[in-house]
Formats: sequence, structure tokens, C-alpha cells
Amino acid sequence: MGKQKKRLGIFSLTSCDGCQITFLDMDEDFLDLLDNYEVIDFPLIKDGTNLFEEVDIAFVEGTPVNDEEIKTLQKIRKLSKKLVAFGTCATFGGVTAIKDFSDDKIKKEIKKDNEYLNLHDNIKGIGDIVKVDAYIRGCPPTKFEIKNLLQTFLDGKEIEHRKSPVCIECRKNGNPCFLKEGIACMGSITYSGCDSICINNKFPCYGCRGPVEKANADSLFLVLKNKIGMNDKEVKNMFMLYAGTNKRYSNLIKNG
Amino acid sequence: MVKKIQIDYITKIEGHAKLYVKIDEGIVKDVRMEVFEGARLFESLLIGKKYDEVPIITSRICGVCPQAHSIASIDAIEKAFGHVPNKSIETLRELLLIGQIIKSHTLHLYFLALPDFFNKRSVIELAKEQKEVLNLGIRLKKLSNEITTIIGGREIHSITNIPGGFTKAPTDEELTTLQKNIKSSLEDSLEGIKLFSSFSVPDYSNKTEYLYLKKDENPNVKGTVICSDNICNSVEKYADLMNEFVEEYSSAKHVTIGEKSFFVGALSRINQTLIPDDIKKILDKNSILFPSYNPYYNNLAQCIEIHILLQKAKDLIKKIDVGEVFHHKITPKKGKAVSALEAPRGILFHEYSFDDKGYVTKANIITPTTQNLKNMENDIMKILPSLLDKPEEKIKFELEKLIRAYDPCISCSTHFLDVIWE
Repeated sequence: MGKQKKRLGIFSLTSCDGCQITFLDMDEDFLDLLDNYEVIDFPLIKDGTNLFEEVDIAFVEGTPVNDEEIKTLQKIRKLSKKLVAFGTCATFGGVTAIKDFSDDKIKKEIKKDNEYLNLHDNIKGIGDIVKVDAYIRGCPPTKFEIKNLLQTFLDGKEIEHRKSPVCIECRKNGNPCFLKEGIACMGSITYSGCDSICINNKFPCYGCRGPVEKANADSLFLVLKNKIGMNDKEVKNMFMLYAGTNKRYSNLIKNG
Repeated sequence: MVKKIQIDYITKIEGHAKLYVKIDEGIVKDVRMEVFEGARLFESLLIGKKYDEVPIITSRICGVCPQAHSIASIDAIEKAFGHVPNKSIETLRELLLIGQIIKSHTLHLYFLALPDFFNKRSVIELAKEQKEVLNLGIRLKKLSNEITTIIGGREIHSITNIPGGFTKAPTDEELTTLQKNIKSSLEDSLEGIKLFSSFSVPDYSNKTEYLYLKKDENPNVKGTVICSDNICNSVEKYADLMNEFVEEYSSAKHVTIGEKSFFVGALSRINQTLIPDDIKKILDKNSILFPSYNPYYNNLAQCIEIHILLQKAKDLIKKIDVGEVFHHKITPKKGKAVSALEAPRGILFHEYSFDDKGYVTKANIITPTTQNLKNMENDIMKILPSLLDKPEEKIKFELEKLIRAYDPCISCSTHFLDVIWE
């Protein structure tokens, strides 16, 4: 008898589905995974999805926006030995959470139309609702991190958290510094692992992976305002784009 | 006797939807595609955002067609500010859009739709027995990812394409390699047409308005006129043509022309395209004729489109002068503009109003899937009577196959919210 395969579930809450597409874009590597993993649930590519079967590891993409999705998330948690918050929406709420930072005028409009949509007005990462065992950040996440996490899980090891910001990767890649050129960039406080892909492509970091543990968000906030010369609205918009729901950013957006 | 058929989670489509059908004494009384994906209210969260953040945000409407959204945003922004991009930038954007359409089509055809035709539950099961066929799909998908990566910086959610141009230009070497790889994949795209034309589809036809975009009298992925056999309407006046409304059972909006449903997407575009002889030969062998108004043929139309767009990409690459590809500074001004392009699933509209500092004051986005939803429901209503003598599981399977042929993108369909600003 061959070795017992690990049971895998890939689930999606409200999202763009891009994290799941990244999974499929692993192509041959995705098919190779099937030597060690049995895919139990993956509604994007597989029917018979019923959320009745237990899995060893579940990936959850997206963020819950209503009661029904919270229930789905809780059910997934119950059925899963390990649960992975998969991507920026699952980690922080992502762009879906921007609406909760809207001014009162827009909020009033949303409320009017929300009668039958029943959307919550405090979108957050899934880790604030259920216990999460590991995070894969990024919008979109990288294939390497998906592969790495699944291998680490097979080996029975713990996922190591990155302590350095995107800045370190960026310098290794020899990119000129946007901040020094007077252009807003969040690489100095953003969780690394993307290999500074945006900056390599001459586009500044907008912080899609959220803050690194020791991020000095307050200091960057002031630099963007005072040294780069962004107005209050521009800086706040930048901080709320992907990870505005984490406390360090939301405090700055509300009070900064 | 009243019979209800319900598919609680339509799988192998992008996003979350269910189907509800009610039949009374053999007559179909009600068909509802219930979209239960949560709404994300993109049009409202764009308000108050500066123009340069707009394409970053709209790209996140959809992980399957992100470039279509960002390009539509960028086009509308530049139009509103009165900026006209140079030829090379314009061509590179078109090439990016073509890469995007091919990516979305291959993903749908080979990973989501194909298992149906081999009576498999998923691409995972399919991989065990039909490795060759799946490898064909993987090769085509990789090529499409190569296009979007060389131009946009990565596969999903492009980095380089921004209002004013591109932050980084592809090198001549990259474009030469891409040209070579496209050439050598044309055999694969023809193979795909052979494969999908060999599958039999139900004999069905429903000739509603089949809309597509036209530019300089030719169908084009970026266009200025919305057309069908009976309609010719400038993109600027899309709102006069389209009737957008809410069905309370769905978190997606619906769209009709007058009271009538219509069709957008690959089949509509291929119906207007002169089909080359090599493809025609393959179709003749299987007695398939275009134009066709059988939505089941949308899959095949996607296969044909992959081949035709690859040919076009080859020609477009020749027109790009990489020295002309850079980022122009653009100056915001108060204004309003609409852009339309052919996204993988049909016509996509983005319309914005800006204040004099370049902040969004109003946004309206109409996606292809919202346009197709009513037509999809109507097709189900028409096809269902011919299926009623079959066991329920078979009926469900056939209906799901029809829905999948439309390749609906539910994430794209749910971002509405009517915000009326005075």
C-alpha cells in the first residue's frame, strides 16, 4: 500500500478568485502535488463539493462579507485540521474592506442599497473570526509560497514567519529607492516574500502583503506626508488599499 | 405537479452561484441564476480615490480577467484627461488584452469545461487518463502567461500598465522570443479547435442580439461602436442601449436591451470574423457552421479565437517600437469618459467622472457576465422542456454544461451598487 495522501480543501469566500488561479497557474507543479495530496474540495475546478468531509489542510481565499459566509468559514474551520488564510483578502480583508473606510456620505448610500445584500460593515481578515494556522499573504500570492507551505506541511514542520520588509529584498535586487527619489513606497514596512516584484517592474510598493512585525507605520506615514508631500487623503488611501484593517494602519487612517 | 430542481453550488465556474428552476405540469415556470457571491461595491469604493489608484483597484474585481479591467480603467482615465497614448503603447495594451483573453479562455476550456466532455468530475480526474490533452491546455495557458508577464510584469494583476503608459517596456529580445513562441504554439491552438469541434453539442439555437465591438468598420477587441446585426450604437451612448436592473434573488445586476436578453462573448465575436481556411476545414469535417446562435458553441468559439488572436499577436509585436514605450506624465482635469473593450467574456464598460484634482466622483462598470445572465436564464428556460424526461442528475448535468459554456465570471458580476451623486 502506498503512503496515505493528505486531504486538501481549497475554498473561496468573496474575492476575485486570483489566489485560486495562482494555484492553477502552478501547472505541472499543481499536478505533481497530487502525488501527496488528495483534493477533497475545490469548487472552482471540481464538482461534488459539499463541505461534509474532513480535510487535513484547508486554504481559504477571500473574506466573509455576510452571515452566510461567516457560517461557511466556521464550518470549514471545524472540518480542517490546519487552516491557511490564503492571500491578502483572507489575511486583511483586502480591497473588499475599503468600503468600511468610506466617508459618511457614501456609507449612507451603501446602507440604503444594503437592505437585501446584508453586507457587514466591518470586513476583516479571517484570522479575526476563526483560528488560523498559517498565512500566505499577497495580492496575488506567489506560487513559491504555496508550494513551500504545502511541502512544509508534508514535512510536519512549522511555517517560519518573515521578519524583514520588502526593502531588504529590493536592495538585494539592486533597485533604486523610490522614497529617495521622492516617490511614495511602502516597501520599508511591508512583509517580504514577493521578491520586490512591483519595484523590480519600476512600480512602487503599495503594501499588498500588510505590515511586517516590527513595521514603523507611524514613521512612514509622516515621511509620506512631510517629505514626499502627499496630502492627508492620498496617504490614507494608500494605507487602506490592501491591509487597512490591521490595527496599526486603521489607527492612522482614523486618527493620523 | 410542481417540480423543483436546484443546484446549490454551480462548480467549475468562476465565483459562487446557484440555479433554481420551477416546473409546473411540465411547463417551466421560473429560472433563476442566484448569485450568492458577496457584493464588493467597487463602484462606491472608487469614489474619492485618485485616478492612479483606480486601475490597481479595478484589477482586483477579477483574478481571471484583471488586465481587461485595468486597461478599461486606464483608457477611460486618459480619455477623461484628454491624453492620447502613442501607437506603441496602444499596441502593447492591445497585446496585453489578447494575452488576457487567451489566458481566460484556456483556463476555462481546459481546466473547467473539458472534464464535462470526458464525463469526468474534474481536471484532476482528467489528468489521470488524458494527460496529452491537458498538456495541450497547459502549454497554451503558459504562453498566455508569458504574454501577460513580459508586458504586465506578472501573470495576475499586472504591475507595469498604468495611466500614461507603462512603467517598464519589454526588451526587443523578450519580444523576439515571444514572437517565436507564439509561432510554434499555433499548432497547439489548431489542435484545440480539432478537439473541441469533435464534441457533440445539443441541437439548439436562440438568435437574440449578439453584441460585439467594432473599430474602423472591423470587429476589434478595443472598439468604439457596439454592434449586432440590428444595432449600431456608439460606446459613449452605452447607457441609452443597456437597461441595468436588480433582481432581488441575486447579488449581481441584470442587463437587457429594452426588455430583451442578449449575448456577448467569444461566440458573438467569432460570428463576425472571417474564419481562415485551415480552421474552416476542421469545422467542415464536423459539419459545424458559423455564424451560430447555439450558446453551447461558445466553447468552440473560444478555441477558434485563441488561434486567431495568436496570429494577430504575431502581427502586433512587429508594430511595437520599445523605444516609444514609457510612462508619460498626465495631468488630471475635471471630466468624464467611458471606455469599452472586449474582455474574455464580452463587452466591458468602465465609466468615470473626475474632479479637477483627478479624484473619482462617479464610477459605473458593466461586466460581460451581468449582460449574459438574462440570456442564460432564457436559454435554460427554452432547453429545459427537452430534458424533462431524463433523470434529475442528468438534467442538472446538462444545465451546468450550458451555464459553463457561457463561462460566467461571477466575481465580476457582483460589484454593483447604485450610487447617484448630484
